[in-house]
Amino acid sequence: MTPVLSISGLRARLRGPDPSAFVIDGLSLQVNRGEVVALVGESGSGKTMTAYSVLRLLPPAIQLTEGEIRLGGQDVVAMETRRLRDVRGTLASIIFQEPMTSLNPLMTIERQIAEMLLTHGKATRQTAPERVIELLELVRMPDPQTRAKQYPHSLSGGLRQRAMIAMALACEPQILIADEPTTALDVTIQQQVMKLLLDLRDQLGMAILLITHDLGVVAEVADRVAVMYAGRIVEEGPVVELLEAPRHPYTAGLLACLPEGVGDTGRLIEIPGLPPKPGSIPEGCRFAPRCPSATELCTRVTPETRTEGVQAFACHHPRMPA
Amino acid sequence: MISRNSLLGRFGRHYPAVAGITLLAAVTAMALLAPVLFPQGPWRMVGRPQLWPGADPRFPLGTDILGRDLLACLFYGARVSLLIGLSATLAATLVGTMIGAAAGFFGGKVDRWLMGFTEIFQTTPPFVLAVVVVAAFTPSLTSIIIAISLVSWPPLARLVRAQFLQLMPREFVLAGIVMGMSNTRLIVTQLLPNAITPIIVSSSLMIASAILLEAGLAFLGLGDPNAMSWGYMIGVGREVLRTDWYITTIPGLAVLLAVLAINLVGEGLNDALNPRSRNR
Amino acid sequence: MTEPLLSIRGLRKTYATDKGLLTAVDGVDLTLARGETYALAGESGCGKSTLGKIVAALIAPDEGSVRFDGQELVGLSPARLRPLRRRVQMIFQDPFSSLNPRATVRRIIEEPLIVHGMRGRTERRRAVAEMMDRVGLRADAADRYPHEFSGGQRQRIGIARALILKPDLVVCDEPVSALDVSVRAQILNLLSDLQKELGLAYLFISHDLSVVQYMADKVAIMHLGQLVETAPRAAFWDAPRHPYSQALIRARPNPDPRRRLQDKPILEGELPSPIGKRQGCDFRSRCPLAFDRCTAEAPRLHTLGPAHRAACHLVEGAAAPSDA
Ligand SMILES: Nc1ncnc2c1ncn2[C@@H]1O[C@H](COP(=O)(O)OP(=O)(O)OP(=O)(O)O)[C@@H](O)[C@H]1O
Ligand SMILES: Nc1ncnc2c1ncn2[C@@H]1O[C@H](COP(=O)(O)OP(=O)(O)OP(=O)(O)O)[C@@H](O)[C@H]1O
Ligand code: SF4
Ligand SMILES: [Mg+2]
Ligand SMILES: [Mg+2]
Repeated sequence: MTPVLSISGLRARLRGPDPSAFVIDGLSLQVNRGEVVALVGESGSGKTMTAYSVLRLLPPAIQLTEGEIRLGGQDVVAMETRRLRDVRGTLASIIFQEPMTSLNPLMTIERQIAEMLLTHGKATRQTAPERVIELLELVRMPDPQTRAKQYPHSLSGGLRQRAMIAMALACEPQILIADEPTTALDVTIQQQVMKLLLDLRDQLGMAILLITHDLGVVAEVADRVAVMYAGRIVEEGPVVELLEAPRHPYTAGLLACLPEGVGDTGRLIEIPGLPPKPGSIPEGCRFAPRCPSATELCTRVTPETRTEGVQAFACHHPRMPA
Repeated sequence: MISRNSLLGRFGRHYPAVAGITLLAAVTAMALLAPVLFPQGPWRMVGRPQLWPGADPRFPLGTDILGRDLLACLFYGARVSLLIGLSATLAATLVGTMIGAAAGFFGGKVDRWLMGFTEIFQTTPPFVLAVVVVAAFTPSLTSIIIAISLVSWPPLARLVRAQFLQLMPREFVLAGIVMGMSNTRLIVTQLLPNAITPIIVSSSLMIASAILLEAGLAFLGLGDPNAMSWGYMIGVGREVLRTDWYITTIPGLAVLLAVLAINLVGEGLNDALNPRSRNR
Repeated sequence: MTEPLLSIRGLRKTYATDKGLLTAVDGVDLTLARGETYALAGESGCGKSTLGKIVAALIAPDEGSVRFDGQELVGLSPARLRPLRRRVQMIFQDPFSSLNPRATVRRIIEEPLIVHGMRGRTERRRAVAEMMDRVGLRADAADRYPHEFSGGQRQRIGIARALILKPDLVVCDEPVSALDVSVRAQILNLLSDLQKELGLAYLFISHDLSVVQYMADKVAIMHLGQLVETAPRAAFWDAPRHPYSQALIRARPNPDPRRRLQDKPILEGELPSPIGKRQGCDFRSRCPLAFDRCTAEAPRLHTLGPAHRAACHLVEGAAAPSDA
């Protein structure tokens, strides 16, 4: 079976004088039907730019230089603009972190969702209102008839995100890319939204690429996890194995520095230093300057990604398997 | 060396601004050189009246209706126009900044009161107000400067107030309050430095409008009778506009170019000081 | 008994909005001892920052009293307040807006010393250098501007600025919420080291319970302007009594891949609006245990043990007889 989304060897760089300013640097990832894949990483690691590449939404400052992206078997990189417009929304759609800035403040919720249906020919002017209500019911919007007529600013953050999801699902995409969909929300609301996404996945069979920096959320919802560091995936595997027995020192470090990682009196484990910026990625393993297991080899030779058991990782000195 | 991202570097890459600054330098040079090149002053009747430019090689720009050398007048006029533009702007900037800062900083009643006061000035057209003020006193350089600054500060006060309102809830201002800064210190060290860019830009543009205002006043005969300004020159040529239009056109062009130059410089400053345009 | 460092009684703060009166803080009592960390947790908009700002004397409450080391802060004139300000400092959430963009790092950290009249430039410089070193900033950072630093580094600058006056109490308003996990650990460790060294008390505001668990000696849970539960750390984590505290603890995502969201109970329902008058218990629209009385009557805080209080009708029977 072909995966819904398959990225291989993706590289993207900042336009400008520095030819080595890669924000995505050789990234490969697959998402299968009905699967929830989490893309985790710290701020600036390139998660959002990866998501944007998939729908060819990269900002002008960033340029895709290499690699292949296939959505439902179709090559996105070479796709002409007309076809691309069709693909956005029907094959893949995206929801953003900040639900306020991604909804149009001057249009009612109903208009915005209807607009989406009409552009993709999924409804007519007559059938659209009814379909909008169905969608709002699908995302469990309380009192959908009233909410449909309201403007985004009169909705709470959680409800706005529901409206965004309804819009993203309007054309029944095969994959939903959710870029930090709950980061701006309270935990209780976050759980409502995440649960909704999982239920919709079960109901509609779509895949979800969940972008987040929160390992707690990953543990709760993901089937598979890819850990990103400075533009690269450094470890990938099923959620249970990856979180319980991480092979890459960075994954292990991320888990260890959570407050949950300490006893009642201990200190938090730190990952010293900061992630590198595009253009100043160190030689060899990019994590080496911050890595507790780094050796001289690590500062010289870039580790290849290799697979052992169910996990894949890029490290010269992986931690012991479970 | 001037780095690409330094203020000067950014300004220098802005070609219209460079053109503006060149023009402005020329006007300043005219003002400074006037007494050197024309030691007899602008008022002397030196030749036949209404000599067209080029008619007599001694007066390349010709003479006006009283036989005064237009070139000399133009040079001396630059002095007066610049003097008035700069002093009026300085005064208006000080007043506007103080009133705007107080309104934005204290808010509440003080704000309502000060903004009400500002509004009174803004409801009358500035030129009309300036005419009334100058007419009420005897026209002199001082009264003209006062009149022009009196009508120029309100927009600036609004701008500064808006800047302050935006800055007040910022956390570094709160941090200043928490550490016990006095109001004056808070305004001077935390708020004003962060509001200075738009103040500089709009003040620089204000110089242009002050020059225009002065020209307008002088044209109506409300200029200082002892100061040779471009506006005065335009006023003099008014009566022979149909036949000897060069008498009004030459100082008119001078005003136009000076105002244009200042606007270009202002735009350039705006782009250079604006941090958003920095990392392009 | 010795005087507590901070004692808050009956604090209320409302804001006039175009939709009506918004109650941001509604009758809060809290006592904080020297050297202690009291965490204030709750959802967005529940009034945490408002309470923090009242304690730091940035805004005045409508009613109530804030006593700091025996001195009433509410209603104090700016001149009388100034010497006390040295002793109560604040660390802010947003590392991008909390530093003056036009001042160098040295200037930012030195400013409090100048304001409080510390004479001698060399002496001030020495204090700044010491402080910078202490919070983990390199000496060559002194002449640079805030925008040249990452979020974590900026937060270190903010911490240095707050601590250079050697305060007794620091209000930390979500100091690590904007930071990445790896940097967050660095800052949390720094804050707790400095606390031990300098004997600081923290009023630590956070919506993240795992951070609260790491930092706090005592926990206060806030809901729509009211404290619904306050408890010492052990009591809070082992036996939370308010259904809202229990729900928050359950909701906390932790990185255990065997506890899946689909198996967890979650809170449904919407929060009531903070604008206008409310009746009954504010939590009842989301409370799984709500019953008739919750609609009719607002519960008061019942004392359950030392420093342990909860505002729920269901704990009434268990309340200690002497409700102080
Ligand atoms: N519009 C842009 N112009 C220039 N650089 C950009 C732009 N957007 C992102 N970048 C850079 O690209 C890199 C990757 O950014 P990206 O937004 O993908 O990170 P992220 O992993 O999504 O981080 P976050 O968790 O903060 O959202 C960063 O170094 C960022 O500075
Ligand atoms: N200046 C103000 N004017 C009007 N309403 C305000 C003002 N400041 C705060 N509020 C309101 O008061 C309530 C409490 O706000 P506060 O900022 O204290 O919440 P918080 O718990 O800190 O939230 P968050 O976690 O989002 O920071 C909110 O409903 C907020 O909208
Ligand atoms: S390759 Fe070396 S430096 Fe990189 S993560 Fe592995 S041990 Fe650390
Ligand atoms: Mg992102
Ligand atoms: Mg807050």
